[in-house]
Amino acid sequence: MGNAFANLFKGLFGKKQINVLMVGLDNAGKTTILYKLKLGEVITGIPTIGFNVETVEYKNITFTVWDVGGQDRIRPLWRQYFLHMTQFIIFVVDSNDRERIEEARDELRRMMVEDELRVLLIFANKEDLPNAMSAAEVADKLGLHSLTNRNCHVQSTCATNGDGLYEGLEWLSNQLKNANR
Amino acid sequence: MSNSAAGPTKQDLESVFSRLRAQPANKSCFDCAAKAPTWSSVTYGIFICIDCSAVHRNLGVHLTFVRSTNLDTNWTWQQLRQMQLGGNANASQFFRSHNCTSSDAQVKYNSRAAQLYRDKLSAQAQQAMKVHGTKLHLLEPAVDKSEGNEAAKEEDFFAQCDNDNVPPADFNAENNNISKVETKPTPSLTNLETQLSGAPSVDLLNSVVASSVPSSIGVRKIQPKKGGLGARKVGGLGATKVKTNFADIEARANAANEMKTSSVQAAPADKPQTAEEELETVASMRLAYQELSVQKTREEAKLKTMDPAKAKQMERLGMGFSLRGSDMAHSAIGDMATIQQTAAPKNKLSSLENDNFFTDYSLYSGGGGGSGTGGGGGGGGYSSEKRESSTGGSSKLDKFELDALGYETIEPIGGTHSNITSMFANSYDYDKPKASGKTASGSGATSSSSSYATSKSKSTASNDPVIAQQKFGNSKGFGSDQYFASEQSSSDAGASLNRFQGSRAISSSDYFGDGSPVGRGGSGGYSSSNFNAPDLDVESVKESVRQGVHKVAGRLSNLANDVMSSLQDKYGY
Repeated sequence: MGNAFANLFKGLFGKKQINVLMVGLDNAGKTTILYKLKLGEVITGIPTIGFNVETVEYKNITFTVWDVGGQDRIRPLWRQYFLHMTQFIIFVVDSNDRERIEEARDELRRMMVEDELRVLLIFANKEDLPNAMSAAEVADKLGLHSLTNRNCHVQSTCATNGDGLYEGLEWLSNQLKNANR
Repeated sequence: MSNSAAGPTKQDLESVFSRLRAQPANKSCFDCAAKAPTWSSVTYGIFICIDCSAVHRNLGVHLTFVRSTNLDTNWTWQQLRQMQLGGNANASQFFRSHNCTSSDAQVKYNSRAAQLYRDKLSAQAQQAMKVHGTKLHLLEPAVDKSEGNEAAKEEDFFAQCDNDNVPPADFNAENNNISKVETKPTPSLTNLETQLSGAPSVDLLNSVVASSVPSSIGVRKIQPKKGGLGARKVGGLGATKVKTNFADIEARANAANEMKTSSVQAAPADKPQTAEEELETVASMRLAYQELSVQKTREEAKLKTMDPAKAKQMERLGMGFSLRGSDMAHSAIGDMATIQQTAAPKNKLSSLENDNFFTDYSLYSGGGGGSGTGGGGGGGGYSSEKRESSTGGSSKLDKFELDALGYETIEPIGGTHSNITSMFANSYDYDKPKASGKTASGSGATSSSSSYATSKSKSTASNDPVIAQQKFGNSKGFGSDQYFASEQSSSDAGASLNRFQGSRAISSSDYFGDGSPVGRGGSGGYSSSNFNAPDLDVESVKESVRQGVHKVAGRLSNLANDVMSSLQDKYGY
């Protein structure tokens, strides 16, 4: 009986662990987001060459967030990460960078041909900057309407003050629950 | 992006950057002077170290756009041109001349000087693009001009030459007075003066011949423009103007060559000049070359008209402005092209193209059923006879046409970009009269698509690329479920807008409707009845209630399952 309650307890309060891969063009703010989530503070990071990985706990779920560098030459590595790791993707876009939104779209498409990808969270980062695109605009420019069978969610964020980050995680955790249901 | 579709290849990049990095000024970080920077701010054409790149990245791309010179491979030609035309030397000179010496990045790159330099550099780069197309190396930067080591040598040589004859202080922009320089009178001085004062006199021809042999090494005739710091000259390439009697330089060059071979001269690094002075030297030398090349053509023309025989003789003797292979001064001039004179001013051009775009655009939207947003998805677009009105859509055809219209030139201009969407709204206004009175609450594409639906009952899809913008307006986030659900009911733009206004999240279950993604790719889409769905609000309410119930029920059943299974485990039922 005790075991039963233990199971019940675990089902209700136990921790789940998911791997999340965070990618995006260079200078989109991935590392800043990661460390804002992890440390709660803004770091001035040098460009990520390779990757950073941290665990972030939110709502009894342990997110292991992999933050992979976005320079041109290391983008091919993304594939390796999500092929072997996870179905949860965070795609970070610099919503202030209007010139490269199409590049971002192309990268996203390239990634989306992989079938394993199911859950896609898009952070439209840097919403605080003067000329930033809205979440809706980012969604349009990324061509999300053509991603028909994906579970996706666009969240506008500002990594430097933390806006929107936890809303994004909230959505991820809901997806996790839905998947388990 | 803004430039020709195919960017430079990896080899191109490597060769360009290895050349750029060979410039002494580019060997240290623009901000902190760290050695061998491999990152760059394309906006200013400067080389920075990785630590400073972090600072730059924090500023945002509207101020400075950071790229790696070895990790980023998809540079565009425009960006490459900016790097070639920029360089740490030019940038630091410009910043200094505008009294922007702050070391705080926020201040420095938010300053007016930074703004000016940004604009100037991008204008120059665009000009260079028009002139050189995708030719790999610009002739423009002095050091770039001749190949490999020779470039460095060349530059060193001149600096050396200058050192020989002139106190280093003369290279300070503030000290660029001819009076100081011309301490040693020469036979050609008077001729030089006349030349400086205006149109070159015919006498110069003689003087060239006469002075070429006897002129001594000691004569230095750099004559910068008063005020120095010519870098501000718009369209010009920067630095101070130098007028020189070419014959003298040549003679001196020869002499210096000999000196070099005898290796009496110390290495350039040992020069008493400070690094900054050296930079300025380089910059001014570049200008000098430019000036000289102009002079040269002038002289040559003169020679031809004046005295063909003499000219020929000079040619034979290797004097005047024809060159000898070993002479660096010569090769530099031969390669030199004056960019300045070639292209039309950028502003004029781009505005021209803007005009084209706008007019074309309005034409198109008028003909294309007036959605102003275009069919984005592959096959799903509008079935009207013209579907070219897509803007930023994914259809290749549309893209292509827009490119032809100069759309691509608009894209890179960040400032105007936001206007484009509003432009759509305007163009939509053109069609409003056609629409059947649903315009009241409609904003942009949603209502336009609805009016479109009424006018063309066959229209199937509303994959407008900008539809989310219209629909979700200011919401901070949203998902595909909201997006598509509301799209289905897009006949009432106001309702959907209300529905998502203020929401920070729009997720795919809402987007696609019903929580389950609907396969609605290219051919899918909504039937016209969906467009006319009468009661949006009720549906959305229903939807959310249903979702809520789903969730609760799911949770309860989970719980019950857990309990049951653990009971079963325990008691072995």
